[in-house]
Amino acid sequence: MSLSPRTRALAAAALALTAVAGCSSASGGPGGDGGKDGAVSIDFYYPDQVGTLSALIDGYLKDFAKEHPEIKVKGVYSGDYDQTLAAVNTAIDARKAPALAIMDQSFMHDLVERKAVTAWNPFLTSDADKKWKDGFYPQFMSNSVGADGQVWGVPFARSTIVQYWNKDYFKKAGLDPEKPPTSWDELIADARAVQSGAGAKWVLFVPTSTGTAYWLYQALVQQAGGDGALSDRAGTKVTVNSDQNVKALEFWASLGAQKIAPTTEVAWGTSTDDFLAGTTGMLWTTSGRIGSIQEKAGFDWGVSALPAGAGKGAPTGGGSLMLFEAGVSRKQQEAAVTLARFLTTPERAADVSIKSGYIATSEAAWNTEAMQTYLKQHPQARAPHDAVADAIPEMATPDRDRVVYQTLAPALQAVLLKGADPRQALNKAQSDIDAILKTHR
Amino acid sequence: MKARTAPRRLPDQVFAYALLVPAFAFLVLFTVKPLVSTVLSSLRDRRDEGPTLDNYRFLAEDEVFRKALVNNLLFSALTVPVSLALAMLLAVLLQRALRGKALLRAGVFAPAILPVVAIAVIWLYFYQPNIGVINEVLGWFGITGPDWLGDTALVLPSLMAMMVWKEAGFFMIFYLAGLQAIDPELDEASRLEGTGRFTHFRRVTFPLLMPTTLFAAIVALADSIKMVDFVFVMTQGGPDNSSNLLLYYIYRVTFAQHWPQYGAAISLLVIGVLVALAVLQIRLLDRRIHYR
Repeated sequence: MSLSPRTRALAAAALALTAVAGCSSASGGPGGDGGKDGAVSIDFYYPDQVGTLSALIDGYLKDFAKEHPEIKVKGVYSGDYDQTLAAVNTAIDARKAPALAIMDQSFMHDLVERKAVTAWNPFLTSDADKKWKDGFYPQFMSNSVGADGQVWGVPFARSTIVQYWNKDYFKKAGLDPEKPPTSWDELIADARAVQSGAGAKWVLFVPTSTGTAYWLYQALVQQAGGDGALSDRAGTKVTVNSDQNVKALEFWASLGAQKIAPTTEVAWGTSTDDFLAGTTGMLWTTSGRIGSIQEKAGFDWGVSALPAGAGKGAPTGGGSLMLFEAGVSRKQQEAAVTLARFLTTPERAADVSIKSGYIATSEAAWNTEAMQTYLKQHPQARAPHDAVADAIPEMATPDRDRVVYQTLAPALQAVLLKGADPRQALNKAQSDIDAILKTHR
Repeated sequence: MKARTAPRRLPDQVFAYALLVPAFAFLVLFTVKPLVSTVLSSLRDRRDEGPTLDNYRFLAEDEVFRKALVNNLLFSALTVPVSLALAMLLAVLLQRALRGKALLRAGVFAPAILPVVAIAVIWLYFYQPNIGVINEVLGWFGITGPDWLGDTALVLPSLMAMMVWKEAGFFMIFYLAGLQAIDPELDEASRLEGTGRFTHFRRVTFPLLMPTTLFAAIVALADSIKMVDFVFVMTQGGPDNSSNLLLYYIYRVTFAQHWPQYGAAISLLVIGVLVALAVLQIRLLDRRIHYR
């Protein structure tokens, strides 16, 4: 067959068009209900905030495939919590949501409001199911349950804020290295001693970066005697300008004024490096950092619950397993529940805790032999678990990104980094937050 | 064998359009359709009901948007001229016969070929207040360096410095090409006349490079408004929104806050401003350009 050049060009054009049209229709669904033998396939998105979790989950999924050949799980590593939310949002819009995902627990209200997630209750009918649900520490469940008692999240990788201190500096400053500060007064006294006696550049790092300032602030509000949760259970009422709120922020700002902490941003990501490099004598950060500090510290260190004031307790944080709606069938959701049960057995919860630094999510996990053996070798892992007894829920609201990152964090930073007046800044944040939440009631 | 019938011929007009079909298809699919759906989306509220002008009304009272806009205008107003001036200077210097010229050119151009995220991660560690390279070097001279990214006043200038470093090398290549196109006789003429090097540059080289400058200025402006990578990796817009730029804010609104309708409204405004600025640039500079 010989074609004229002209006909050939036309054919090429037609081919190109077909290719373009193909692009828009070729992408298939992520897995429907069906294989031939009644197999179900589901997507499972999991983030990794600490670097050790994704390898662990990959291993669990391989074990799951052996134990449950009837369920095909496609595990998708989805970056950090914020990236996971963006990925899940896109999947929801395309009505191809994963059946199961590990989500930052505080995204709950947004997802519930958009009817993107489904409650666990209808799937937990037997006594064994209920026992499983009630086995988790109530402090971790407290912000996984909505105002109407519906369970939206199942604790998986949960943490809280703890205090790390450099024992070498405490020794050098003539302090008892085994005794961390337990009150605000002791904190300031110890800080002054370490500053003059041990020659540390800074004494206390309390991260002030946009993504985490609210979390540390919650702990300080609790210590000042206020309600550290900051938000109510439905998430639609937030209080950030009470006297205790102001007192907490004044105390935080005073650390900078006394040169105990810098008046520039204390970055969340690098603050652990600064502690390891001896730039700061004490650090408040997530219990999830125990592992890397253990691995890299070239000095004696300790970890404890945060100091107390008129009140005591730090917020929990971290991720929960959530069930999704958009484009997910009931059968797929049931498969997802099976996977969730598999991932949260006491043995696996203990394994997650040992290998990543997250806190064992239930008493049963805490009492496993593996966990108890590990504790004998690494007594530091006891501190975050003990801190959970007083833990408070993490601040959670609808439109969380606007409320927390875009309104509260800048208000805190304006005071801590630019010397704004605490009461004025918090009053303004309060009215801005009220305006945002008004549209969600 | 039978004689073939004469091949049917398409009229030229139809043939021309047929050839253009693939290009049109891509244009429609990737430019026109997204633009139209952006316009339509921006007219709907957060529950995707509409039409409404609420998104545009909200733009006027959104403080974070205003801050991102001001930051971005500052960012563009400073990085574009500085990058171009530096690029032109480097090109003129590196055009001469110079030892190791190729190596120097490659060195200056390197930032333009590195992945932007890699640049951001490297500079993130340069800028660290206590363990970073920059403050370490300052320390040798007894200077206590500031916290470059943690200080609300320094964070934007710190990002600008990176932008200039990245862009200057890139535009230098265009200026080098522009310089090649200038007739060397002009240089000889200047020499014979005894014109100074600077006067030659001001009166001959600079005006003849104007077409390159116009092109580079438009691309640099678009780049400075498209900048999101540094913010994403290094500062997330903080502290206190001091380094929030328009595209990063659009990303946050659209994906993190799941409010694509408002994100669409901001995008359209940004596109509008960008087009207006480009037209202004062309109008203003066109008069002073010597095309050959």
